[in-house]
Amino acid sequence: MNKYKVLGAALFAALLLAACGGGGDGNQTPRVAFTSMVTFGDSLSDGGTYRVGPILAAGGGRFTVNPALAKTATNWQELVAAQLGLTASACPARTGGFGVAETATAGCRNYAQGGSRVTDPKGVGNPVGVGFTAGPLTEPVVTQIANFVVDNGSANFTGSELVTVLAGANDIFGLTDQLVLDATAAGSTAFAQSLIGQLAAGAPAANQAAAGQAIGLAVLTEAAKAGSTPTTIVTAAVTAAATHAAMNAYTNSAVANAAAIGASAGAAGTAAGNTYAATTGAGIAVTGMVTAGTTLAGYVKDKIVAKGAKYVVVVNLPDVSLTPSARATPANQPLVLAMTMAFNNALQTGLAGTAGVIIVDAFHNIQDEVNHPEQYSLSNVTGMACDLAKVNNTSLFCSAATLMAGDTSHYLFADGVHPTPYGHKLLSQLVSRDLAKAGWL
Amino acid sequence: MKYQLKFLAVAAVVLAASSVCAQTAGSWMVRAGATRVAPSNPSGDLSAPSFVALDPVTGARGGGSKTTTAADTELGGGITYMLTDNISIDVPLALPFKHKLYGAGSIDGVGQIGEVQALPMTVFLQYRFLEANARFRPYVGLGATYAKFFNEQGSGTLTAMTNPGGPATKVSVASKYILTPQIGATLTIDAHWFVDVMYSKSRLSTTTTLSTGQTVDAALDPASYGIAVGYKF
Repeated sequence: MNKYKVLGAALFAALLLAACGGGGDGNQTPRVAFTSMVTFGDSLSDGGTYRVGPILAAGGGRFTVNPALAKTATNWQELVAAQLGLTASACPARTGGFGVAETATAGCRNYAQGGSRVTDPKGVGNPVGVGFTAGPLTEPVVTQIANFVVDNGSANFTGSELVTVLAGANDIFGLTDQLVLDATAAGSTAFAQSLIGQLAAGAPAANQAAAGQAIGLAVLTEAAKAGSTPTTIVTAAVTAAATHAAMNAYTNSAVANAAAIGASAGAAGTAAGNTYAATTGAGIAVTGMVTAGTTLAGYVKDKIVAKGAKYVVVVNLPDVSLTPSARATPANQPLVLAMTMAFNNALQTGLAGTAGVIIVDAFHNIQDEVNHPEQYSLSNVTGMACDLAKVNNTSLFCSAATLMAGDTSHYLFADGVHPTPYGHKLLSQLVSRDLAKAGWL
Repeated sequence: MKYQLKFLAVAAVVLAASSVCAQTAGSWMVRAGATRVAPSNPSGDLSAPSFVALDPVTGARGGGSKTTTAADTELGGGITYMLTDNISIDVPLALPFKHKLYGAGSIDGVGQIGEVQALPMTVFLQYRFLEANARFRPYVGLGATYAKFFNEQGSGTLTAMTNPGGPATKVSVASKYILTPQIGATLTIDAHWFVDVMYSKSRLSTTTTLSTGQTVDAALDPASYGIAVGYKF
């Protein structure tokens, strides 16, 4: 009898132990006690710099599908801040633009602005540069850091800030815009030279030099006019050739072939423009990205780490060639990819071995997201969640009211270049993972 | 395992010809000591959405998000009742095992992502070799086990990687019924006291579910090692 009591007690004890169940939340405290988050960058980190005037009225403000409540953490940097309990500082340090004067908000330390480049104040949508408020402010990273120094009252970090840096995409856009301008100029020059040469060649040998000068003057004059087109330039050149022939009493045999000569010159111009874009222009654009990457690495080292910051997260450029905007021009994707990689390599090289800096590889991760969307529960990695016709072509104005039809909740892109809130969440998870690997989270 | 075999070898050497103690039909034995449970690692890949390890230079894909479940040692022991001179029923008892969960694969290096407590409740049917009064008696057993998992907890790191800024990600590990084969031996010290060593290895595959929706399958196939001092009534 006594023996069975022992067994009974033992089984009872086992059951008692089994009865205690129910999971808890575990320890959610980050390993590093950060005091604030300081953010430098562009639209990918912008927490609502432009949530003013017409954008505020439209329910926009961030470059993604804007939440119903502006304070809802949405972009990657805000999500990480929320996880770390740093929401109080993760708000736009400057607001304004689009017709509204720039103002500072005390305590806010997100300096990232849509359109900002690394150094050039003429960001995307800002043709003026410093002091521009008619459109996006686009203060470059170097100015953002200077603004932090003003707000902070010192260039020195305490060492307990989590600093995030993500910039460079607008340097791609700025440099490619410049490339298009330069290629167009190269094409125009070749077009004019071909046109002038062919028309002058129709004059008798004795008159060719003078005819060329007259035709050249006419081409330059026409090209300088607003609204001039290749057609009007050809017309002006042919007219000048005919006029010069009449005034100097000779016959220009080329005038009769004006149509063919115009077409030939046009082809020469196009070829020259393309050649420039593919060689000299592409070289300048890639070199420009190397400079931007090296410069940004320098800012991180000299203006952030050297000033006492101990926890700096640098996110490299996502593969910009995979954005819907880049996909719209497949011929340009290889150059955009080359520019992105040039920037990232320069950034990586520049920051190699810098203590207190981790580089998050957004570049390869967005490639993997596009190539293996199912891995990330992405439903669409090429389309755009926002109906661009309703949002002035930018997610800055996008909200639930201006989405494309259907379920866009797991789209990667909100507009031509910016991620949806879900895309931001994926990036915030990636950053969080790397923070954890560094022992910071 | 290695330790176990070594112990058996030593035990065999000290085996004595006679014994004053007998594990005869109807006897009760209790024991107390330490039990270690060591699961196999790592788990399978966490379902989508989850990370894949990517080469920083080439972007080549590596492993998915996995976990490793750390071993734990707790106060353990058990109660044995001899049905016959050779056949016994054994109920091991132990404090709940606390297994820490760490990131592996694409989340290798993130540190602890959670913890789960496990209580394997087993009833063994054992066959004990040699005579009831043998000083050294090896045995084999087969147990019916209910592997109870409870008090699962996620860490802030897990939340940050699955739902940053959101509610803490919860973890739920499915409890399972399994069979547990076992080998062991007792070494008699005197009329009442003996030493028991035991090794078992179970097939245990379970699914862990996160409150963020992902699941991960793991073949935990735990190895269990026990050493205890026992008393025979």
